Amino acid sequence: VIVQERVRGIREQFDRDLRAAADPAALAAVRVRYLGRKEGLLTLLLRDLRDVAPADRAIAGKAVNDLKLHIDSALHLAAADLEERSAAPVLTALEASLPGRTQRPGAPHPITQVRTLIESIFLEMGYALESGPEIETDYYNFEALNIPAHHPARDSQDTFYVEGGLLLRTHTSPVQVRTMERRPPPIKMVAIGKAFRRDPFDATHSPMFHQVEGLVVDEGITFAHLKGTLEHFCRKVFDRAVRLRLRPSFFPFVEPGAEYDVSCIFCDGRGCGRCKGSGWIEMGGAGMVHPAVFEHVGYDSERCTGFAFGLGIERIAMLRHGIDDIRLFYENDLRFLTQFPA
Amino acid sequence: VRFSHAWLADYVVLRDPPPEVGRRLTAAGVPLEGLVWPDPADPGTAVYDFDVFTNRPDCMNHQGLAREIAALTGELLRLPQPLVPGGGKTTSSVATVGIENPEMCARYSARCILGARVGPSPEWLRHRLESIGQRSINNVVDATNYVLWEMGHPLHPFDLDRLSGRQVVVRTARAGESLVTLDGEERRLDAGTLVIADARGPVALAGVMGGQASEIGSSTRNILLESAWFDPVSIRRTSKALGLHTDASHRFERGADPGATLAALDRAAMLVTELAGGEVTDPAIDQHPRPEPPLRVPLRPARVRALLGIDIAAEGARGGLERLGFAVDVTDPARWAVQVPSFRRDITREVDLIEEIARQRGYDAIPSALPVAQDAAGGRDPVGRLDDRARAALLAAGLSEAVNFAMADRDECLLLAPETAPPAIENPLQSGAASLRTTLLPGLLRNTAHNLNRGVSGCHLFEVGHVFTPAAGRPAETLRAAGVLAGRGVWSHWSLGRREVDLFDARGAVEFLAERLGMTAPRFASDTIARGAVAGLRAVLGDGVTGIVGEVSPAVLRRFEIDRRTFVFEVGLEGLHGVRPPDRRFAGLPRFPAVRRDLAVVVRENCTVTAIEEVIRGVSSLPIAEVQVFDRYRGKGVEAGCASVALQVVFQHPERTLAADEVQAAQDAIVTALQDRLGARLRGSGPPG
Repeated sequence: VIVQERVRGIREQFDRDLRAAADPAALAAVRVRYLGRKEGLLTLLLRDLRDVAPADRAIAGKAVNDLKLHIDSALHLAAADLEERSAAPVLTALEASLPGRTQRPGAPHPITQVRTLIESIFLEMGYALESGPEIETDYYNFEALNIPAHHPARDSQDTFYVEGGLLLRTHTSPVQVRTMERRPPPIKMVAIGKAFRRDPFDATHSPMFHQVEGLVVDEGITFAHLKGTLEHFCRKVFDRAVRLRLRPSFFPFVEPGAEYDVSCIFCDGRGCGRCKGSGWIEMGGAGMVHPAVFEHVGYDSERCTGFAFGLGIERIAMLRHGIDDIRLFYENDLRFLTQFPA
Repeated sequence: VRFSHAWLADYVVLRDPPPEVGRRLTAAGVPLEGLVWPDPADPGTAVYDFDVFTNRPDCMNHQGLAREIAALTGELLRLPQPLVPGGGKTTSSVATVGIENPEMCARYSARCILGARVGPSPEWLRHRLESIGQRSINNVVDATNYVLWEMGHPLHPFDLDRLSGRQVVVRTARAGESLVTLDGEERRLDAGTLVIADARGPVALAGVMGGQASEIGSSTRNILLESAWFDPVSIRRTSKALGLHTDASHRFERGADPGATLAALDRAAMLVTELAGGEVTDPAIDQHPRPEPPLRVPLRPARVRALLGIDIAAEGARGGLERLGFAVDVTDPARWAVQVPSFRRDITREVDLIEEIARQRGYDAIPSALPVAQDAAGGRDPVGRLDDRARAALLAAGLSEAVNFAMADRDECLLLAPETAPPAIENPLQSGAASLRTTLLPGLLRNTAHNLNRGVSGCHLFEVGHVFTPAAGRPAETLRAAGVLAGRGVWSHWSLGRREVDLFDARGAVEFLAERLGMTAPRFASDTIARGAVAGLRAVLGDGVTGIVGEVSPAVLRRFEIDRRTFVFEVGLEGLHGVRPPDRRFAGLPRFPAVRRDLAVVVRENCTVTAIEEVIRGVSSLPIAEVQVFDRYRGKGVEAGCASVALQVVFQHPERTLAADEVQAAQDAIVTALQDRLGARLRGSGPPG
């Protein structure tokens, strides 16, 4: 019992002494005072343990041992702490403020970034990536898409003609036709590429732009599948739970035809300046593949049905990054490009 | 197309406020583009602007749009039924009509109004026309214009007394004929242009614009009213050829209603007599050389489900079609027979009817589902696309990506790729973009000027895209990668000091590109490229994969208004299409240490590093793992015309540790061989031999 009281007293005294030890010399003195081989308080206490009655020795011994562990560990931590506090700094303040050295990759064009994003969304859904030539024939660009010569629908697709009776494709839809000519259904494809229209170059028009074309053909494909696909795509591309709206529209190569909108990503459909108060943002055109298109490529339009959709890459990039002038994409100003590191 | 709320209300009860009318029509395929509603207390003041698609000319007038509204709301459609009083002169007794080209004019109906007085229109008519942006001219012209916006059928009034022989003939123009149209333009007519002619010659461009000579004027007393149906292709050709787009041509080229000629004629004739007096001749002349039987289109309810993914309530679908003017025979419940009204020329097959049903139900009523179709060609290509691999390499090399137009300046293309004639664009937007690019460099040089002029200190750009070269049949589109470097070095840091880009930055990008595309041994040879436009190196990166690297000449820089040294590269990637990059095979890690020895040899400038390396590898008695240049020095201690090249040679044996004396022996042999074969000397010894 007496031993235990001495243990408590020594421990309190040690803790006080340790707190007071502010430098290595003081810490060394504390160590000697308690652990010194001759006069150390703990050393003396251990020696006195021999006089304790055998019956009490086990309990007293444990108390003394606990105290030893406490003193050892506290001295160790205090020493480490003192060392840390006293260490000289490795860097001067100036050195610590200088920038590091690395080799930064260049910035991919925002159009490429959106293209890559859209491709990955459709690749995850098992679509095939297809492509076609930028110089097209009238047949693939118009005729096979149910836009015969002298059709007023050609007015909205003012065309660049290339020597030799050719043209620059006005949309990526010819890739639909080329793909269906090449292989039988089922088809699930997207094509992303350049398209050209003889529009003046201003803030919202560019004579060259980029389009996504999608096509799914199989037995049993319905308008419901078109809606589901567009909904999934729009949610992925904007990374938000946007709502989808389809409105009847006219494109000669689809019937029923539609334009599709998403609920405004800026105001969640409540109406704001960006969506002109409507709550909706126009995305692109879509519809069920017109049987005349199937007939052009030799598909049986009674057996298979399909849907097609399109959208503009620039538009998505402008929405994602808040870009208000399409011309910025083609100036290739590094102060613009480097704002979109991958 | 503008519509007046009050005018629409003449034909259908409008219970919804104007914005709701617009919303419902938008959902049914006639999108509202604008709405002006000056007095919110009076819906009648509202004016809509609807975007009517090219396939729906039947909706470009108030009665047509009222029909759509009635079909949506279930309200009754009430159309005026004009009655022409008989008893007067017959039309054929005062005028004759002939059709020489029935393939371009399927129908021509006409009446005359005798003894009319041309004058200003009454207030109500002027107001109506002006409310939708039309200008009032006189009561007769306004009456025909009113019927155009009411019923959609274009009509034309002639001054009957100015028609030579009081006759009209529909025929194609003859060589050399011309006509002064209502806008005062004299128009020379191509043979084949469809005209209305009198006994002397053309008096109107059929379906496009009337002629000045037979125009209705204040002195007009007797009028011939034309209500005809012209072939859309013929009208569009004339309209395009003459650059003359009118409200009439807009409708005829989209397809007017051949069944409406008489109704529109009667409506206009009665309106003219109401406004200008006179007597209407009766009966009308109605030449109808090519009557079309009504079109009947089958509609299978099962097909509706197959296309839309929903079951349709048969009654609802049928009623909806009937409200739109279709006659539906459901005798065979699996295959309805639907008769198409003559004003719906856009409906020719079953799928068109299915769209009508979907439109009326609203696309919102169709559920969403994901297709289960699997395309065997689908999924990610493990190798990745060639253009993406090239992009990734050049980005990693520190260049940013540019995208430029395919349309380019012919002279600039010829400057940088003089061997290729750029394919021409026949109708360019501007003369500086009248060709297809044969090289990516002009675009990148323009970008460089743009950036440097705006204070960008280092311009490091690349583009991966197609160029176009003449080929049999059609221009070939081939994939290229090109880059430009000007100004500050690509990697900058305060510890590295200021450095401008040089040839080795451009070459490094090409070497790295080649490596990433799987080409392990690119070769470069000094050359002058594009007749001096670029001075530098011609590169052979692999089989059929060649390119250039070099510095742009001062003359070319002046043309692009660039005032910094500029380095470019361009590589044709077409030869790599479909070529898999080589599989990377694992080589066992070396188990014995390497020994590194540095050699600095002075050689003449006409010696190549390749030659030095070949000698080293050729004569070494020990296996060499690597030879690497780590310095090139010119100046003190090295005579003019020579340079010191420092190389590190790494000896390494796969099966044992090399001894110092055998390495020394190998090194001595290399030095001797370099002296003997290349005339090189070790730096610090005598001049090269």
